[in-house]
Amino acid sequence: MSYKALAAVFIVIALIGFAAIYTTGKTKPKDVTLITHDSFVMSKTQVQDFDKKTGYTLHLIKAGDAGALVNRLILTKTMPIADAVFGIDNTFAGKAEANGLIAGKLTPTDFGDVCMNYDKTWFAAHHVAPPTSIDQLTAPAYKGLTVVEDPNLSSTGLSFLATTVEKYGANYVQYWKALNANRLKVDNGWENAYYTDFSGSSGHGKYPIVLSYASSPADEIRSNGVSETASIMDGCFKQTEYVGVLKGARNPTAAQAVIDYLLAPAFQQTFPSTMYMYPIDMTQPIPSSWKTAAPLPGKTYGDNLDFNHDEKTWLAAWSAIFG
Amino acid sequence: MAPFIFFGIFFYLPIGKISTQGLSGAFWSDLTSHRTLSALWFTVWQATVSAGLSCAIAIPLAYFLYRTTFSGYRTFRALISVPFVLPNIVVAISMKAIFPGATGAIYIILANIFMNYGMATRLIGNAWKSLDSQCESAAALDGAGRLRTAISISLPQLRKSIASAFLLIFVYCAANFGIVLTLGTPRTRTLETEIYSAATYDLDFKRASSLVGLQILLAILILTAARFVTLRPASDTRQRSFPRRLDLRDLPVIIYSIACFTLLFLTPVLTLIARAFRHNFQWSTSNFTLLNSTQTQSLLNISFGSAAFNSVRNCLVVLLLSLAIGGLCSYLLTKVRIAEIFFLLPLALSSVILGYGYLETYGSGIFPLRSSWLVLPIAQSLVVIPLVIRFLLPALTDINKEIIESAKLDQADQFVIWWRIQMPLVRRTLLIAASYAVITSIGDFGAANFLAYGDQATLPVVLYQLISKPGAYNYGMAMAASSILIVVCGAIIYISEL
Repeated sequence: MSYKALAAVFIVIALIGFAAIYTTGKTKPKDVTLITHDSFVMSKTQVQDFDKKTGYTLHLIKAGDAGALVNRLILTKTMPIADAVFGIDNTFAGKAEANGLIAGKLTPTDFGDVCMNYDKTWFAAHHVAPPTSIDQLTAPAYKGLTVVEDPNLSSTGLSFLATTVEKYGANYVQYWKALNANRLKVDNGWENAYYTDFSGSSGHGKYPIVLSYASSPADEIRSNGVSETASIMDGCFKQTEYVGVLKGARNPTAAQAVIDYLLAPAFQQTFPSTMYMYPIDMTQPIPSSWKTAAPLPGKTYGDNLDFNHDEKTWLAAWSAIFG
Repeated sequence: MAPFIFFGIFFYLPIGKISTQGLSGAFWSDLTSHRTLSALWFTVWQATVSAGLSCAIAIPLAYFLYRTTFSGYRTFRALISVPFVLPNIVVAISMKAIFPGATGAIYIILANIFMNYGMATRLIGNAWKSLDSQCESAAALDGAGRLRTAISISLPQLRKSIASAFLLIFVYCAANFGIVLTLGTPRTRTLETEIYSAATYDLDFKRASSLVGLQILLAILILTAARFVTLRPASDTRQRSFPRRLDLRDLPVIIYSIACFTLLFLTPVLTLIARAFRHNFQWSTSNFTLLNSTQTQSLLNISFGSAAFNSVRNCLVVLLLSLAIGGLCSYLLTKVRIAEIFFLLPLALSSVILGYGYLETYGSGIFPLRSSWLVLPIAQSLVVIPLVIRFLLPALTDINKEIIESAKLDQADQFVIWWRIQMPLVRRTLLIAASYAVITSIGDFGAANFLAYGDQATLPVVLYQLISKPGAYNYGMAMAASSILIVVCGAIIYISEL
């Protein structure tokens, strides 16, 4: 065997290689991919139901939290890894639009409120009136009682920082300085704050006030049918989640079918029980425990902010106080 | 020509693309920023401390396992080699098994030592074994104690071996992306995690590229240093010392070795396995049954079994590519002694960079490499090929030239010589190279994290998803999956050792 023959063999192998890459790299026309954050839940039966009704084959990709999801889409936007996206919320919508990720508009699918929760038993036992507004958290009566999440690391934490920006305007810096002086505890994630440091949940921690969700008290209903916790109604952030077709999607028609499926009543009904969010379609039934223990706050914050533009400034100001 | 084209398309094109992006940006100010310098500093000092401690711990162990003999020494040797072959992420998970909230520099260094001291023992021990023992015997005859003999006679002769073990482990510790990502805090940033977070969190591609440039410089520096200290493999003709049986005077080293083994091997491994069987505060096998699913809240895209399938499939492609191309490169390099660094550079560059480069270069256009599952095995084989060359090249150059000359006289052509003479002579080396290919491919997290998503996730990707999310189920599943991997790796090493 000579060099020439060897070279020929390599050329053939290389051609096979390129052909393999080409065929495995292409998707089938009936495939549709939905990329979501990690908290998205769509059961196997729902996926099969979708496939049967539409004739497409649905694939799901979970890409971390909402921030990681948007970044992954930006990194791959020249050749999107999915056709539709679920889970971009109002804190990231600006970034998604500024980077041209979405074809058309984002459609809201569900919403929830980030609220301070307090431990009712603790306040009763210590004869302290529970706070009714986040304004009071800087008062001496509530010194060393509150635990929140780091806004640099947690979307819940970032929502609360944004609430203070919208509620207090430029004075938000003073508010956080006062919170810091009032011995605020900062955790790196929601699980740590809620399950470990909060006194009203399974961890029985030391802090009777925690940054969580308006729906959380529904999960703390004890055997007597009454929730151990309640929300502070003034100072809640409204988080809305969206679904959209990705620009450059290989199958935009199928992507639209996915969106329609997520907005149909059958799927909308599952939001409270699987993702702890309210369906955007308010005609859908809500669990009765939510009605009694987790009422929606009247006024919420979060709709008048430009996250994409200002978030870095807020985080820098926050980190200067807590860094 | 073929290897040049392969390296050109799959290594130099993407690397070139991302590093020139950096040059066009604020290269200098990016590099001299406080963030970069502190990441560089942490990379270097954690790798230095980890490699230094690993080697220091290994020296008495090397004496114990390679200069003396006792029943069961093979098992002992095999067991302490296990952590080295484990995926990075499993090593990090072992630390989380002992210290559930483990984060910070100290745990990163501990994880590095756990992973590498066995390798250091092996490298130093093999050199010690082939050391000429006449000097040592003479010293002993003159009344020098064993410790004194070891310090003043053996260690100076082992200087070069220890240095090359140190360098190798330094490279591994500097590039332990999975460990730093899992056990790190915002303060413990290495060049790799900086590149990763610049590219994926801050979306600051210019800065990511500048950092890539910096890592290339560092890589060239280390490779050059390695060339100075690397010993040629000891040839078999040299007179070997025979290990002697253990006796009572070895008591201190026996106690030391058993203590090391207990603390650095048994404790992490047994704790991990014990945690794998703990579910809801009681003993059960539920963590293992959960591995069949995509976690209770279907956090995972695919189950552990499918991820294992992807890992094995990728591994086979890597094996094929790297042995074929690595073999060809080595063959070329025996003919023309040029451009060795051309093929060796990927060794000192992290797979994180490759993953990022592929995303940037092959993310669009008519060549849909990124969306093919082949993208990951190709990226991984580029990291493996330099390893193959490093093993194969010395073995090939050691082949007696006369055999080849006489074959040529008998009209054998190049291919026949390669297939019939050279290949069989280096078969053992090829096997070692193949096992490194397997370890690297299965354990790779840097490139996989960029390129393997959705239903293409590999074992380390799934493990990272589990361990990076709080929650008892995830923790239990990570422990269960890791203990399976440890047992499998242990079995493979044990069999190959005997």
